[in-house]
Amino acid sequence: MPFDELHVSDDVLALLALGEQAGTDAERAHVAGCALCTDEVASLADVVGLARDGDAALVPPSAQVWDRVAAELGLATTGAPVTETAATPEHTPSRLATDPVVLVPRRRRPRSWGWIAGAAAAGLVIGGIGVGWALTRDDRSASVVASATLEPLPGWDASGSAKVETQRDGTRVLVVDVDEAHLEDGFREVWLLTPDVKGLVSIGTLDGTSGRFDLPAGLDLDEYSVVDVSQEPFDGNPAHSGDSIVRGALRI
Amino acid sequence: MSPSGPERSRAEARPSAAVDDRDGDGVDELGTLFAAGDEQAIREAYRRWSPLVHTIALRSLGTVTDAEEVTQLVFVDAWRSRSRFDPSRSRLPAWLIGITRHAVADAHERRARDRRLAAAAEPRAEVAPAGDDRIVDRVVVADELSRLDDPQRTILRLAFYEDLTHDQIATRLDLPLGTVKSHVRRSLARLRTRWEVDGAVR
Repeated sequence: MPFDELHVSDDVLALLALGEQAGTDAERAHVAGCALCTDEVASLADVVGLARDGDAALVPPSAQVWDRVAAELGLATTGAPVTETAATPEHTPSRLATDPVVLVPRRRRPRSWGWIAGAAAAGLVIGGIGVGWALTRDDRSASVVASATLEPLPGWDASGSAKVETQRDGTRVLVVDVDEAHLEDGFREVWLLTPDVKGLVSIGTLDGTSGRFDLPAGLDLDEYSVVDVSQEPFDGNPAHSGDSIVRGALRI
Repeated sequence: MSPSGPERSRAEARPSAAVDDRDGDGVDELGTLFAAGDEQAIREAYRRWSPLVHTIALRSLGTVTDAEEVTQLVFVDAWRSRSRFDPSRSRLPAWLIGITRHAVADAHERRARDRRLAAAAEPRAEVAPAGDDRIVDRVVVADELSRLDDPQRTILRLAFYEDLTHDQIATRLDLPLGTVKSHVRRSLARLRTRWEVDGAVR
């Protein structure tokens, strides 16, 4: 008997790594008892976790950075490279304006990890559980049109969430929750940023751990798709302090 | 009871040698040109991987100013020390990521020092280097995801971010179930390979 036939197909293992209840009972029983298959699922689940934890959009540097590199290295600045930006489309979905899709909080499908948890799978990482929100098309009663998981920036310990709700009258409200109420001197300010952090719009001050903010009607959430909460000193300077506590991209 | 047989064994399912041009065409050739000092090579390297370098720095350091400084430093450094880059031993993106890790760690150290110098009343918690490893891994995986063709990229995005099952994805995209399954398998394996090759360099 060939070695292969002792094991479960790679297709099934990949789906298990995504958290699906794939395969037959017999296949799952095999995986649970097979170190090789269990390792494979765990390894792929690591990748899935990294993808789900992360913010899928890469952020290219501004054009001046290449100019500085070229200047410092004495390279001819002609033919400046245009950076690849293929990584950003899902955070600028044009359908926000044209085809509002109703979101509800992510309801995870039941996951059948019990069988594998007991199977020598110590250290198995299943990433992304509880991350963010997701789109389901079967619930039209909710009015959340986008949401974000807010993650701490270096030096901060906080986390939180944000969502955009559409009211019956069509106005939009940004709801921000940050779990850490600890406040140094100063105050917290909520912003919407462009993914390249070049553009920013102040949405309001956050008092305590949660706040609701009316969004200006013309504000394009395709463009200003990143929620940011900053720590601001009382210095009379209305600009962003550069000291961001949490940040996260809105997912439509 | 016999589980269905896969086409490949577990061992083969984890290709380490099969890293064929994951970052676009001719990564090896580009590395060779880079090491040889061809100025077009640094332009091309910048075009392909500056978003990767910048995003790692941005996620780790939190401000665009610092991230852009690191990006500049990484490419300047990489070019100046190109004689130390051996294209037969490592891939250019992995090497750039290695330099990025160092530059980010240095930036964190500088910050800590500045903070100490400023004798801030309440120093904030240092960022654990382990967190940086995780950031690099995430960004590498995100980068590779963005380089997938469609429908593979859309399939994985629906699975990752909208939490759809493979049959829901098949319905949504009007694709045969088997096609979705094999795309999921191959694409996940590809993300993992890229992560292992470029993200694993510490």
